[in-house]
Amino acid sequence: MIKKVENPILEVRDLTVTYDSKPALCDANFGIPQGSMVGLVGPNGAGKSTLLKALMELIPKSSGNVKFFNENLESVRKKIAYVPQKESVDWDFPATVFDIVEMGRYGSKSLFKRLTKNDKEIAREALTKVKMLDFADRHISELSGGQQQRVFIARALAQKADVYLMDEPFAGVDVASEKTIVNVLVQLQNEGKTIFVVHHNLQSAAEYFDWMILINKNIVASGPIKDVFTPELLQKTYDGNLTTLEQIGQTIQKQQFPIRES
Amino acid sequence: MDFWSDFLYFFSFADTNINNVLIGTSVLGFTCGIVSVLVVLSKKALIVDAISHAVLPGICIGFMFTGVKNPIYLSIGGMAAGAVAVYLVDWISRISRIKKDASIAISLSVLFSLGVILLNIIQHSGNSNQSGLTDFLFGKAATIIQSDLYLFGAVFIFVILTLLIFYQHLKIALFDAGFAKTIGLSEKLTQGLISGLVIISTAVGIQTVGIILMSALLISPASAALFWTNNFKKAILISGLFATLSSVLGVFVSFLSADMPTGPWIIVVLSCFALFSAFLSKKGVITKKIRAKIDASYNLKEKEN
Repeated sequence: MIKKVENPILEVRDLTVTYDSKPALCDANFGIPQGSMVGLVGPNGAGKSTLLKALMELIPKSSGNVKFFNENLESVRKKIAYVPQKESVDWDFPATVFDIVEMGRYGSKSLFKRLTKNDKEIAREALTKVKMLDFADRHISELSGGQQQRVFIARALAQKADVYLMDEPFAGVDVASEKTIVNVLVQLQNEGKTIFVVHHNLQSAAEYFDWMILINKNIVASGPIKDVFTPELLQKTYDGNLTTLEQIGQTIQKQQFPIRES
Repeated sequence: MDFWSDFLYFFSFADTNINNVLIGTSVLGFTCGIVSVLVVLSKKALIVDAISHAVLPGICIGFMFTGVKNPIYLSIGGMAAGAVAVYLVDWISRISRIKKDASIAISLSVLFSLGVILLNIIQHSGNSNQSGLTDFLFGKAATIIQSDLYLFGAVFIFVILTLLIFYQHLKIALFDAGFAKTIGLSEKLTQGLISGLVIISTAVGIQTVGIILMSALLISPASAALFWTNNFKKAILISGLFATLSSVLGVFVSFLSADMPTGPWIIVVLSCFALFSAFLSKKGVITKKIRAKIDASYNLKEKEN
């Protein structure tokens, strides 16, 4: 079930990615409406990160094309911010939290300029939003996993983009950080930004997103959460994997009989 | 002469020959120290070893073509061979199932043995200019003369300028290559800059420490410096200073005793700095343990109260 989208902010056509001639992602076709909060969900090895990296042209695609705002990535780079998995970098790098967030203010054409007062103010604002301003002068190796993730998100906020692509922002993150990050995402959505998140936890997925893409090498479904988050489609995505099916069962039960909080 | 009169003579900078050697090794040391930070942060330590060993056949071929031991021709040969090494490592791991570390080892040994073979051929060629070519293996700082200093100075200025121009690019890309790519920074440029700077500094650096020890001069300074600072700019400066200081001390030791080789002493001093930093700097192993102990006993006292 792939829901058609009029004037999508991101449109993917026939996207295929292969690693060593093994397909990691087959023939993906979908569109995303502007201003939505999208969850990309699927089992391990389903090609979630692969899809995200292919969208950002971090890995070569075998075929297909990707359009942001109906244009190629190259001409709209400034409007798109990418948050990689925090494990993808070495946190012993000699830099402070503020140094990293500042990096969000550079682009390929503005590498040689000095950052202005305004740039520094934007970086500070971004740190405030993720509640990390007190850590601005800390070395990045002194941060917990959740704090590292918040620094990455602050760097993306400093980019002042319109579309945010995030790879597993909630993985290995403490509860307080997760709450902070969710608040930031909601705030972004309220500002009309589009957010695209790789997510592995089905339980919270239903709560966080309003649009969902189910993926298992192929795109199984893409559409509003109420149409996509169904037992049939989830089973199809997780292809009979027992433990996950149990998880799905629990989740759906929870949805149908919400526990009332007094 | 006793130690102190030697010391005074050495550091009075009255002897032109000593000064040439001292300035030469210091400038090379500082250059390599700077590049070292890029090497260590980009995790290219192994490739540096392959490049430095690959320089030998390049130098030999440079000599065979020109028949003279002009440092510029030899360096050009060395740089070309270094570039071949970088390409070879990449090519082997790309076209075959051989992983990067293995392809580095293969390139290193193949190119180095080729160099040794060429060196033998040259030695038996009857060209009297060839004497001293073997010095490139372990370096011979004592042979640095004034004309070498111009080449070293040019390389130094080139490295500094490149670093200044691409400072922000390198900082962003070294921390997070993926992010750098998404904001439009070319990965090829990043890799090219790092490889290029390594090749250039290796081709001239082998004059002081030699091919075999060259990788130490491009790995140890930054390894030591990164223990002392959390700032990219300061790391570069401290790394350069460590390498310079080691060079000065190495030259001094070999000045004290004629039997002492300069290059190996530079590396020994440098390694001492690195070990000292690893154990006793603020982020060092021992310092951390002591601090943990103090904290523990402090907590214990708090509890007792």
